[in-house]
Formats: sequence, structure tokens, C-alpha cells
Amino acid sequence: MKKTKDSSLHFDSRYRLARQIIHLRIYIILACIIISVFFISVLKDIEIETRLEDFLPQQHPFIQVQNILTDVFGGLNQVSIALKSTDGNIFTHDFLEKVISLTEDVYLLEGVNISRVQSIASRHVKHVRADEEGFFVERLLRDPPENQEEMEAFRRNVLSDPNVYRRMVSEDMTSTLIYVDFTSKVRTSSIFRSLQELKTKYEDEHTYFYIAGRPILEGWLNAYLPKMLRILIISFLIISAVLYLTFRSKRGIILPLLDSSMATLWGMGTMKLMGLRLDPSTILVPFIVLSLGISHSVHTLKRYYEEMRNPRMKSKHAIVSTMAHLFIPGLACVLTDGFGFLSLMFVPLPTIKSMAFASGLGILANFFTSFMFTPAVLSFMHRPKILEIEKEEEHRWVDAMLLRLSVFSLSKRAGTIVVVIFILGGLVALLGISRIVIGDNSQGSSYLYPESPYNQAEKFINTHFGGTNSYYVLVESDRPLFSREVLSTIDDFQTYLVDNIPEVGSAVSIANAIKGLNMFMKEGKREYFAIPENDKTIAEYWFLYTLSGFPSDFDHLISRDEKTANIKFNVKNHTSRTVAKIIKTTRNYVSGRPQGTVRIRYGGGDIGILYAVNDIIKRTIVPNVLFISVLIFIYVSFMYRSFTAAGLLLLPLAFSNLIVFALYGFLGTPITVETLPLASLSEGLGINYGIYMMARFHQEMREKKRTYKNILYHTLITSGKAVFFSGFIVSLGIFAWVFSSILLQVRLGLNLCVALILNMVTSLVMIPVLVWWVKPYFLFGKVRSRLKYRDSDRGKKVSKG
Amino acid sequence: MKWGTLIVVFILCIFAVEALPLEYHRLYVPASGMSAGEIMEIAYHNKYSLFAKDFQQEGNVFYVDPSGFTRKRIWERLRIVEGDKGDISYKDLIAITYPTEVKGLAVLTWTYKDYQKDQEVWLWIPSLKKARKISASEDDDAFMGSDLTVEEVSTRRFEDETYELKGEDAFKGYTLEETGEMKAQGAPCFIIECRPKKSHWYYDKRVVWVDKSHGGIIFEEYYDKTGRKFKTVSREWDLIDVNGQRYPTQISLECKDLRTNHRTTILMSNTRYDQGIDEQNFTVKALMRSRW
Repeated sequence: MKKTKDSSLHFDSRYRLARQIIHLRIYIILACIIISVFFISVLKDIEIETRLEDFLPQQHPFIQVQNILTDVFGGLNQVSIALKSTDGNIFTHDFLEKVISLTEDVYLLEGVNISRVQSIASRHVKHVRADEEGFFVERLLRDPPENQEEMEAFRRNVLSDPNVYRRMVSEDMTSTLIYVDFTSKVRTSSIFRSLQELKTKYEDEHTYFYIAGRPILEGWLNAYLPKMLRILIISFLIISAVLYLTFRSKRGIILPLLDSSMATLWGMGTMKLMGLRLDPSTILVPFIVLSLGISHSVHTLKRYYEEMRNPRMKSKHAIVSTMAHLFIPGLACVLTDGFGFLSLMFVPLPTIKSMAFASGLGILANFFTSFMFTPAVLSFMHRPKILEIEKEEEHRWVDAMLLRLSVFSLSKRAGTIVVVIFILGGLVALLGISRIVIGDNSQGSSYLYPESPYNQAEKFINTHFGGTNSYYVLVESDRPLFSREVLSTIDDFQTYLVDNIPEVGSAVSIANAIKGLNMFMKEGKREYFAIPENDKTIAEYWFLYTLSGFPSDFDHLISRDEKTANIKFNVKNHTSRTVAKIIKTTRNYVSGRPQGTVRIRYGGGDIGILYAVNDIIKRTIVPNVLFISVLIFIYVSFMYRSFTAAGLLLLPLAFSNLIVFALYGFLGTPITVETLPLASLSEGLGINYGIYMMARFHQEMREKKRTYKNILYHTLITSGKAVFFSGFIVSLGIFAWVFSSILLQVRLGLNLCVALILNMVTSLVMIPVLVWWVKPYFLFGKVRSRLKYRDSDRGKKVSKG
Repeated sequence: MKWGTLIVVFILCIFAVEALPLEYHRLYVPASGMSAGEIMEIAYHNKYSLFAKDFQQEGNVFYVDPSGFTRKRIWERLRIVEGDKGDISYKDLIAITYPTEVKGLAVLTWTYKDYQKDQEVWLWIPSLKKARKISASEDDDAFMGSDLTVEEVSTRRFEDETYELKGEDAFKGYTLEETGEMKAQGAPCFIIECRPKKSHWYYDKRVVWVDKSHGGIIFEEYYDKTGRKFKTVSREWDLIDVNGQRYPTQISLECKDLRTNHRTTILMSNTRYDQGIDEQNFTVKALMRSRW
């Protein structure tokens, strides 16, 4: 009985603490208001800016290669603009005039890298003609052809140039592509805005305009993000409606919304103070904190109303009792959720770190708002009317369902059924999990709907021009780069990759430039499209090549100090299969060649970045889930001084999470960066249900006032009901994400909704069944051993006498 | 088109046709009261050293990126000014003498008096021992991989632009980045605005400062269609005494691209005029025999 003594001592201390808090209630309320006002002032000019580098794992070796590429060879701010002629083909005076004019306008944009504007009308896109006398170079398109003869000559020039036809002019000749590169100093919002203005200027009934590329994707995301405010309002309305259905009182709606909004403000405000921005990932923070906060407040209010059923109970006393009972489970939930999220800060992605930080702090703040602010306010409020209390209890169908559940839990076969379902479900789930695809598998951006303007543009450009996904490889050597040995290695490697992977469309490097120049020097004969034998000739060719351009025109091929060369591969898609195949083939090539003076470093560009991100997902998702599980295990074990308690709570959680991840596999939904917080959130919210129910079980068992049957029913009708409603409220609040224009939020919302409902159901069903089946010592004490041998006595009074 | 614009175009046309061809092998100096066209014609005459019969010069080219990283090249240049005989204005031979791995690479260029006729260009590749005829670089191409365009150094003609005299003033001076020295401070200048006649051109206008004392352009500012200044070109001149005449000679040329913050500086030295360079040095055969 020492344990009981200890427990009661603990309870007394919690009771004293609760009274102390209520004693200081005015200060608590004032402090919460002052902090909230401060954070409102902090948040009033919060910036919405999506920077996709925030989604990159900066420590990954591939991202480091990418950073070198960005420093040495230029930024990631590449944009593709496609112009489609609706008049049959591009070879009309007006259309070509438009292309020339648009190219000129592009040159004038702020921060444009003028040497990287690639268009049929750009200054360094030339038509080369070679014969026995020499070779002749002229701008491919300076002015629109004035007559049919000139137009025909221009068409021939386009068709004969493999660098133009199918790359800058589509195979069906209805469209042309302009590549633009902006310096890294330019804000993507500015790029997006200026290109949208150009679209407005040039798009008409004869011309369609498509723009794709990283800054444009960021621009669209920024454009969609303010609409999340609308979704937040929808979320508020849905939650208010369910809160009304749950409590049928004004305080039942206002207080949960108020305290969780305050916690959200604190989390977001701290995020802003840390210099973090709102992006598609961090904008979910308000929803997450709000949902979790409301979940806790529902338990507080449910318990408060329960206490107030006693007509002689004063509001202040009821709230002290509520606090004393919920203090430990509440703290456990908040700590588990908060640290669960903060653990995501180990994921090496800046956006996930920001999201984890803001959510973690917001969730920890929930403890003050839900378990201190709300009780403090409630203690000032008059006693709810009897009618209000009765209304609050009026959920007959829920009560009936929970009664059936309690009866089922005590049945002989319940444990067996649950275990069989657990094992079978687990096996099926493992099958689903084995089918999980890690990484983006869609054409275009998985962040947006396939029919979104951005994905339509990317689809158009990929279909008509192909190979818009970049893959960069760096080549370094102790020898001069312009030597036969180095150039042959470059040439050999790029040929190997292009020949072995059909998805790799083409490659661009200094080797191509030298081979091309060699061919032109030798009457344009195709057999001379090769690396020259003589190193001096190679050096002279490169020198000649550089004479034709401005200083930065060759930065994408070679560093200014001529020590590092760059090979760019144009890849036709970025599915995780293609990405993995390209990296594997590169790795095989690099490891298979003898260690010479030439070093090959990979992999930059879209392909390298995606591989790095997928790699991080693979490496962090399981440890993160395990970390949170261990955290829960340790905390619950400590709380009840029992490993069995932790096991009982973790089993339903594990089961529902297995099912959720299996759904990813069965439905073919890829696991992406954005899925990472899902595990934390799902586990955090899921364990809350279990903790609250187990706390009630524990309390009721310790009070020894009822039979086990009654204890079970009472737990389900009080905490179980609170779990049921808070589960619904949170799920529906998060369900509001389906109204987002950003697909990743929709997917996340739906997945989380399913996860939360599964968590709620498994907690409600499995915990009572498992508790009765296992009859753990921390709940049943010495009665346990007796009950174990009394199959027929289940449900009888568990009196301690 | 508005009346005001029509009048401006008409005035500019007058300026453009007003100037008369200048004689070869004669020195001209602009004077107050001259039209913008006359001043610019003298500026071109001096730019291409048409006052001399021939000249030889060494150029050290520095390509400096924003981080300060510098690449260097050295060339040797010979020019013969044909004068009134034939249809060729002048012939140029430029040979690379540094870096050593491309030493001996040479380009021969014939420039015609008829401004509409393209230059003829031959390239000598020492390692292949081959001379290949190549097309003339286009006017807006880069000049030798620098920030300057070909026309800014060698092909822009008087007929390519319209001119308007904006005033006369003492030049504020410029800093030659390569040496850090202040140049041409207080030099009395004509300020002329030049607009290209070509459509879709890389600049909308340039403003030039022509030194009154010798008629050379000492400073240029380039503006794009949005009115943004994107490039400056400064030229330092020296007057070299040749047979009692003081020939205006460019001794430095610096171009700054304000968009990329890259600059190119060319320091010219060892300039010698009227040495009687044989025209036979400016043939394809001579090019193939050349050793630098």
C-alpha cells in the first residue's frame, strides 16, 4: 500500500499546486494576455517567403556539391519560358518578332544573368556554317525574316542545329523555349512578379505562355499561402461547430479556441523572433498547435463539467479538482508532443527545423494556456447552469457506443480478437509498408495539383522540350583541364550516362564545345566531332571559344580559374526510380574507373537535390518515430512506475501508425519531406488519447469505489468521451486543409485526419481490451493474480477488501 | 508619331548627314561651333588612327571579376591605313603573345571603307598550322572575350548612330580601376548623346564625352531601354609626337559592366607610328608564315 500512499501524496501536492495556481489566477491571466499582445505585435509583419533551399539538407554531400555549383557556376534561379503559337508553327513574322521582343525584355529584368539567357533570339545562340574555306558564325535570329525565302532559310537553320531543334524549338515546331537564369541575390517574389507581367504582356489568342522553374514554383506557393488564412477561418468554424456539439455552451467554444490561439501566437511569435519565415511547411504550425491545444482544453472542460455535476460544487473548487486530476496526464501529453516535435529539429532540413521549433514551443505553451490560463478564467466564471451541464452530457448515441465498447472489452473473446486483428493488420501493414515509395514521383511539383498553372506549364515544357530536370557533375584535375586526358574522361563519362540511362536526354560540357570547334575547323565533317589529339590545339580551341563570348558566358561550363569543369545532364523526369538509377550509374562509373588525376564529384542539380532529400527521409523517418516512441515509453513507464503501462499505450499507437504508413504503400502516395512531421504529430496526438484514458483508469482504480465493469464504463463515458470528441474536433480541424490550393497540405491533412481517427479508435478499443486482458499490476495491484485465475468473475467488483 | 518626335528625328537626321568624310592621314581637332556629327566624325577618325599611315602597339588585357580574380592576355597589334587607294580602309593583324599555351594565335582583319560591307577575317591556328577564313564577329559580340563589344573597339562606324550635342562642360574625371588613378579630371569636353539606328540593339543610347583638345572620346555611358545605365567605357589618351605632329593615342581602355560588376582593362604600350610597315605583312600567306 506504500504505492497508494505515495500516489495520494502526489495527488495532494498536485492539489496544493492547483490551489496555488488559482490563488495567482489574476497574474496568470494578465501574464498570458501581455505575452499574447507582445507576440501579436511581433507577428504583425511576418514575412511569407518560400525558399526552396530551406527544403534542402545542407550537410548532405550532394547539397555541398550543389552549393559549390551555385557559387562557381551560378544560381538555382533558373526559369523556363515556353511560347506556343496557336497559328500552326513558330515560323511567322509576328510570332518571331514577339520572341525577339520578349528576349530583349528578359535581358532587362532585374538581376537576370544576361549570359544565361538562352533563346533562339539571344545574343549567343548562333548559326554556324562550315566549308573548306573556313567557318562562318551569325546570330540565329536577330530580326524576324522579312520574306518567305528568309523564313525558309531560318527554318532550315533551326532544323539543322541539334542544340536548337528539340531543345529551344519543339519537335512539332509549334513552340519555342527561353531559358533564363537569375542571380541568387534576386528575391523569387520579384522574379515571379516580373515574369507574370511579361506573361500578361505577351499572351494573347495567338500565343500561349508557360513559365516553370524553381522561382516560379516558389512564387506560386507564396501566392497560395495567404489563402491559408481562409482555411484557418474554415478550420475555426468547423472546430467551433464541433465544440458546440460537444459542450453546448459559449465557454465550451470560446475558451478552447482562445487558449489554443494564444499558444499558437506564442509559437509563431517565437519563430518570427528567431528570424524564421512562413512557408508551406511552417504555415501548418498554427493548425498543429491549435488542434493540440483544443484537444487538451476539451479534456479540461469535460472534467470541469463532470465536477460541476455536483450541485453543491463551486466553480473554483471544481477547477482546482480538475487541475489536480489533469496536471500529470496533461503535462505528460504536452511534454511528449512538444519534445516529439522538437526532436524533428535533428532533421537536417531548415524548413522542418523551423516548423519543429515553432510547433514544439507552441505545444509546450499549450500547457500554460490549457492547464493554467483556461482554469484561471473558468474559476472567475459563474457556475454553469444545470441545463448547460445536462446538455453537455446529452450524447446518447456516443454513450450507447461507448457502453457497447465496454461490454465488448469484458467479453471472453475480446482479447483474442484484438490480438488476432493486431497481428493480421500488422502483417498486412508490413506488406503495404514494403511498397512505400520515398521521394516525389509526380510530373511537375508534388506540392501542387496536376491541373495547377505551374504543373501545367512544367508538363508542357517537359513534353515538348524534354530534359528540363538538371543533373550536374563536377570534374577537377591536377592537370590543366584543357588536356586530352581530362576532356576524354568528361566525354567518356557523359557518353556512358547518356547511353545507359534512357531518361538522360543530353549532356552539355566543355568537351562538346571543343569537339564542335574541331569539327568546324575541319570543314564541318562529322567524323571530326571528337577531342583533338594535341593538348595545344585543345587550349587554342578553348581560347578561341572564349573570345566569342563575354566574361561570364562560359561560367556554366568552367570555373573562372579554369580548375573545375561542369557537366550538365538534361533529364526527362525526376521520379525516385530515375533519380536512384542515375546516382547508382554515376557511382558505378566513378568507382569502376582507375584512380587517375581526374576527380569526379556528384551530384548537383534537381537530380542530386532530390536524391539527397530522399536519402534524408529514408535516414530520419524511422529514427524519428523510434525516438518519439522511446520518449513515450520512458515517460509513461516513469509516470506509472510500470513498463507494462508504456507497452499498453504504445501498442495501439504502433498499430494505427503501421496502418497509416501501409496506406501510403497501398495507395501509392510517396513519402516526401512534408510527411516527416506526420509521424511526430500522429504519435503525439495518438498518445494523448491513451494517456488521458489510462490516467482515468488509474484514478478510478485507485479510488476503489466501483466494480471494474463500472470503472471501465465510467472511464469510457468521461475520458473516453473526451477522447472521442477531441479526436473528432482535431481531425475535422485538420480536415480543413483539404481546401488548400497546395496539394502537399491537402495530402498531409487527409493523411493526418486518417491517422488521428485511427489513433482515436484504436485507443478507445484496444486500451480497455488490453487492460482487462493483461490486468497490469500498476492498475490492479494484488487483485491481479486472483483475477487471472477467475475467468468467470470478470466484471465483478474489484473491491480491495 | 507626335510632332515633337518628328522634329527631333528631323534634326537628328540633319546632324547625321551634315558631316563630310574626313581625309586619311590627316589630323583633325574638334572646335566649338561644330555640329555633333562633325565632332563624332573626328572622334571616329582618331579612334581608328586614320591620321597615321601605320602603327604598332602592345596590349595587356586584364579581365577582373567581382571577387578580384584576374586573367591576363597580351597581344601585339599591327595596323596599316590604306588611305584613299582602293576600297579598303585599314588592315589589322593581332597576334596573341600570352598566355604561352596559345602564343602565336593570330587574326588578320581587312576593314572596308563601305560601312555596309563586312570585314574579312582570317584566323591562324599554330598547332594545326592552318589559316581558316572566319566570319567577322558581329558588332554586338564580345571583343576578345571581354566586357567590350566588337563595335566598341573596332567596328562601330559614324553612320551607325544619330547624334545630338547635349552641351560642353569640364569632365568630372574617372578612376582607372586597374591603377586607382584619377584621369581626365577637368578636361573640357563636348557631351554628345548617340542613339543606334539598328533595331533590337543592345543599348538604347550612349552618352559620350569628347575631349576638345584632341577629339578623342574619353568616357561613355551606356543606357538600356529602361533608362538604366549598364556599362561605362573610359579611354585614356596620350599625344605622341610623330614628325612634328601630335597623334592622339589610346593608352588605356577600361570597361565596367555594371550588371555583372566585371571589368576589362586594356593597357596599351610601345605604340609606334608610321614605321613604314609593309603591306605584305597583312596577307593570308604572311599570316601563315608569322612567328610571334
